[in-house]
Amino acid sequence: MLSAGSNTAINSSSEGSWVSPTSVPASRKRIQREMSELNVDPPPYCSAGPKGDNLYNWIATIIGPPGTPYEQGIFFLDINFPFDYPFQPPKVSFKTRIYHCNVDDTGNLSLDILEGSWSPALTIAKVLLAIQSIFTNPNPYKSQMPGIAHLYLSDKAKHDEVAAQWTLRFAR
Amino acid sequence: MSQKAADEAVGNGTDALQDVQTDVPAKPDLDSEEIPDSFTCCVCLDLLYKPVLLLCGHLSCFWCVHKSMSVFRESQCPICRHPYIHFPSICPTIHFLLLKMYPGTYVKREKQIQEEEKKLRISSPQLDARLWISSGNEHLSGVPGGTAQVDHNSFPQALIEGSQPQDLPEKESTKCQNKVSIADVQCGSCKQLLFRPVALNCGHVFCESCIPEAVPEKFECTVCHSLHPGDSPKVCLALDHFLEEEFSDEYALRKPAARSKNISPKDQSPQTGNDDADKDKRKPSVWIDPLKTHYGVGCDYCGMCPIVGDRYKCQDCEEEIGFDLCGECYNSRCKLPGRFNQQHKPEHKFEFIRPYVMQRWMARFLTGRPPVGSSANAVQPDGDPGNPVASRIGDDVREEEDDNEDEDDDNDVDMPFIAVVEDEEDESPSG
Repeated sequence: MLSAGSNTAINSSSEGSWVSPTSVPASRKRIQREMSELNVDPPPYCSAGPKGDNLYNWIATIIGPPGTPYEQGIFFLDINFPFDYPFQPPKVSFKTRIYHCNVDDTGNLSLDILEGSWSPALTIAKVLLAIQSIFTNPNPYKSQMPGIAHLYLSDKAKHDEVAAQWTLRFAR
Repeated sequence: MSQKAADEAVGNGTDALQDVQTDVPAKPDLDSEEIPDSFTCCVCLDLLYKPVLLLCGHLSCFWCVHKSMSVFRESQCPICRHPYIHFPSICPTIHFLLLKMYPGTYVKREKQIQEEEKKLRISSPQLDARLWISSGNEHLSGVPGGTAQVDHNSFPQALIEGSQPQDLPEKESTKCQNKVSIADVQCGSCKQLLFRPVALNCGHVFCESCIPEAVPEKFECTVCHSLHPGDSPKVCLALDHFLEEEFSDEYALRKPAARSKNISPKDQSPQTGNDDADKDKRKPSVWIDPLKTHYGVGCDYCGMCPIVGDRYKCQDCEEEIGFDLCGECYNSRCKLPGRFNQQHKPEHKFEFIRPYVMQRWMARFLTGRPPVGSSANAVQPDGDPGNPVASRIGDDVREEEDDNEDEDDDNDVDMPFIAVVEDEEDESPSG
């Protein structure tokens, strides 16, 4: 047998022509299911849904969890699903500017579950919860912004103050 | 489904599928079939269809497991990331159990998947209700009206047989057609109600106490006599909890019996199921030896993917997906059809194939020529599935073709990465 995965590229020409192992309806169905689940039981401080007619293009909001410098800020995120979702992770980026060591200038965030540690059993609800958790616990050792990470490690009070200022300026 | 409709469906034989399906929407309880979380696939978030029980005891659909497997190294369970290299077979017990409990939803799922398979020109194993009956589940076979002669190519017949009240030995279950009997969920070895169920690589389910605690290197399934590779399987907690709820009395009875039979620390701790306690026991990764690995190819018998070591490719199977065996399964002469319903026959000829990819790359590096189709390209076809991959592959084929011209002229151009080694002895079909 030949194996599938989204990565049959090496073999799809050489052995058979199983080029598109994941059909679009399968990913569509899964996204629809996630959508209805999010409507029924949304995770706290989060919401997500399709931007327009395109089911593969979502917008999500996360409200800064209390007790963090991001408190009461409303952060918008863009979610793009690949066609072989859920076998490939969705692409998530911040639309709202945020002072956070794991989010770079353009809004790309480094989160292990959105890269190599992705598992098809993860859902958008779980991804949003993971993003919320980096609000409370930034990971300065795997950061996109070394300056912010350094400040977070050396002077957390200063870091929190700047983060709160940014939240007030960009996320309210 | 009403009794009458069921009889009609049986009478029509091959048309039974259509009858069942046309009958289903009219059924009032289709919507009331609420699928519990334990029987929801973690990948497609739908009712499990053709369930596969992984080594760690987690369930997923056949295609969901297959698509989430890695072709380059060990795969991981989507839920607990437990590594595995053998793609287990579909678990017939859970398959027919779900079909019986949620006939409406299950048949609907079957229809959807079949359409999808048709579109993608792929195929999954057909579980034959007749085979299932002959393998010791006689409770399905007491069918009146000569249904046994009906061609059981698909399983709606099983549904019908299962839902006919008189088929069931337990008379008390006639009240509800969705009621499962113990005969549906019995152990392949002790023929009793499954207690702490585990599944072997072949998909057959046993009580945890009915298989040796430390599965030996070559452990044979008592039902189908296929070898179980790898580690001891873990208890499927989803099925375990279901059985405990459904047959609480019988389950309670089994508890002391199983414990006295097999006193082990495993049985006493309630959480042996899916924990990572025995991480240390896990086998080391096998993918690191690139010279022996056939990336993207799996063995159609034991399910090892990617194949490490010898690989034999069937020359006569016409299916696009091909039919391959690992060295061990080639030598044990499997008689089973392929994992993807390939119509493999014992008289088919095999060719021995070497993993040549890496060697060729090394040669390229040494000769100073850039490697074609670097792994980074091949591994991650991003976003858009169609064109970039195809064009990339096209380039590979062309360039490889140039390279191969002098080396192996008779080699098929469609197999750029593979050099065929003619080996007279190995090719004899009946060893």
